[in-house]
Amino acid sequence: MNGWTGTILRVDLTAGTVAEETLDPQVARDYVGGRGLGIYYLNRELDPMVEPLSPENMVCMFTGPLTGTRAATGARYMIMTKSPLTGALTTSNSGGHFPTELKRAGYDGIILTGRAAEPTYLFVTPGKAELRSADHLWGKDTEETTDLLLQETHPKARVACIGPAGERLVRFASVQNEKHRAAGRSGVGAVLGSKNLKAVVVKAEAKDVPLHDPEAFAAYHKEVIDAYDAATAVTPSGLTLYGTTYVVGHSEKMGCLPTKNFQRTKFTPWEGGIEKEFHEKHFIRRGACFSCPIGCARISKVEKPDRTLTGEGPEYETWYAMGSSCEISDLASIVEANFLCNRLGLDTITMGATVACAMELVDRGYLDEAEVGRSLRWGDGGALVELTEKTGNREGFGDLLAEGSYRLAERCGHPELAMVSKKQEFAGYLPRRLQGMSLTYATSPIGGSHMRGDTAYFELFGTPVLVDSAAVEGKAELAAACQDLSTIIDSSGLCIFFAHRALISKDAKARPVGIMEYLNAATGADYTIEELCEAGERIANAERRFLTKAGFSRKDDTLPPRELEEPLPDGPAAGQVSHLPEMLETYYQVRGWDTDGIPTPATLGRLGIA
Amino acid sequence: MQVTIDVCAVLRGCCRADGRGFEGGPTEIAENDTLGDVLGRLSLPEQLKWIACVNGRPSPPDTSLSEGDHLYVFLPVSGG
Repeated sequence: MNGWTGTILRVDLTAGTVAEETLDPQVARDYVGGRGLGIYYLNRELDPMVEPLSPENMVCMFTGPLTGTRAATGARYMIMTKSPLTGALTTSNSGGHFPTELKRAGYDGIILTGRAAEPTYLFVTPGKAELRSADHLWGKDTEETTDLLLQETHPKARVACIGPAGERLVRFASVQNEKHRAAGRSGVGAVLGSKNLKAVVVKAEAKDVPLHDPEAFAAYHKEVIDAYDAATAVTPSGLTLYGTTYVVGHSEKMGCLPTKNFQRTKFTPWEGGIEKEFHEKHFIRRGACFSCPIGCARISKVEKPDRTLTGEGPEYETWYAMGSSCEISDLASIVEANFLCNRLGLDTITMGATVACAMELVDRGYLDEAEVGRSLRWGDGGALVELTEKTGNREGFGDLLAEGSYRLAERCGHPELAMVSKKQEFAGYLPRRLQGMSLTYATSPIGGSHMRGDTAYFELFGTPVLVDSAAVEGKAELAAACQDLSTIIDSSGLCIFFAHRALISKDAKARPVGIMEYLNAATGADYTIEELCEAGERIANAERRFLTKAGFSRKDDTLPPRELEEPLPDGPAAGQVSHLPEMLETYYQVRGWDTDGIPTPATLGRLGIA
Repeated sequence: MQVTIDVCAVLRGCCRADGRGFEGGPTEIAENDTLGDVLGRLSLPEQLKWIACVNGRPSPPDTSLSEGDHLYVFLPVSGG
């Protein structure tokens, strides 16, 4: 096989065994890779009713056929399992360099089952993988863990690990690679922690991934890069210049920036814009994932009285969750809390959004500050930093925050104040501002996430085209198209930042035309665009099937009352609410699901899903 | 009449043929100025495919403007 390696690692942590298994080429073609292979194996082998933190849960870590191939942004992998935060599926994505190393070591992915008796890490080299004791690492943060593992395995190995948050089963613990890259959402780190698996370390020898048609691949890649260079000749992209920090100002000007726990849209404390202040006070230099022409990563710093902290980020999602949603304007606090999340292994979105929820609960008198253990007012950056540290260690009030905003708000008698769907906190786009996002948040297989069907690209960013965000008509089709596209991007091993800009059709149909070119040159799979679109639909339906077998249905495809009933108080879309109920029926019809949101036998049969 | 003009960070330096850039803010315009008239005075580079919104809604150049309107010009962006 080309593009794919054709080999998967099976790790039974209970038995302490590792074995290689062949990837079926037809399965690879039908499910592409990454996210697609993950759901294929989860549907085949995991009981959707499993307790997420039990040994019976299963974790799939899969690269895509373009990971490590030098396709533009071919650097990503997925971690998939049943989430302890939502009880639904989770598909968590990360980039950096670990995925490429795994692929070049000869493996499409790793399937983890069982639970190790003691803290353990997996060390993978070409043709060999072994489980080693991680007793000496347990309790250490992700930076220390990574440094120690590089010393004892190979200085140029790549490490994906959990921090104290994963060990302590924080429901939104992350898996960090290269210290600062996060498979952040939905608690994949807690699942690894429940398995006593501290880290996966990989050291490859190959410098490349075999391709089906290297000349065609190189030619298409040149075409893509030349087009990108031409488009950015007059001015570099905002992502290159400012990272995703750039999106804060844009989102605010378009009336989409969640502020004060999604109560408002306006938050403009930074004279000259947040990107200017961040770059003046905290920015060190740019960074990039493997094979990325954009380079959106920000290496940054925050000065403390006795030392300088450095790390990566924050990203837009962190600026929203820890900034505007908490009404915190102190960039230093947000940068420090972001670094803490990376070290402890925490999802910055859920962390910030849970603090914002707690702030509103206190503000409304539903949560006593005595229980919090300190004052907790809107705008308090010091509280954010302190509570992030406590959450990662499950100390004091942090033990409650570690359960996520929904469980916190429910405990206070007001679950409606958690800005979630399926108990996972939204990303930085107001659903009632972008009607398509209303639909994709509500129907996302992993709960509140913008990355499982990002209509914001069309409704807010204008990439590749701008559609009317307030319109309801056509949004069911757009949401389904974006969701299917996201499965192909995530299954191929590419980054959405580049794919949406340069590798899809220049209309609102979101067809993966450029991804198809890369895939065919890399793998020889000879996809037509119809076949690749159908693969996207197959993966989306396979995920939905898992979800419905886990007990989810129409009743869970919803949004909080704030989004459905409270008109936006300010901004260009003042007065707007989410029209989700009007769109949901049409969406189910577009999907070929019944009125309860269950894929019909005809739909599953057409797509070849057993 | 007065409108507020905002230009995304990436475009600020590109505006105006004299290279002075444009920070944005409250701006006096003529009563019958259209969106296109106002944007024409910003001298945005023609090669860039920028998008203009009035009060958060994408708007064509012949859009009529009113007192207090918010004009925002941006380049299609990825990310977030």
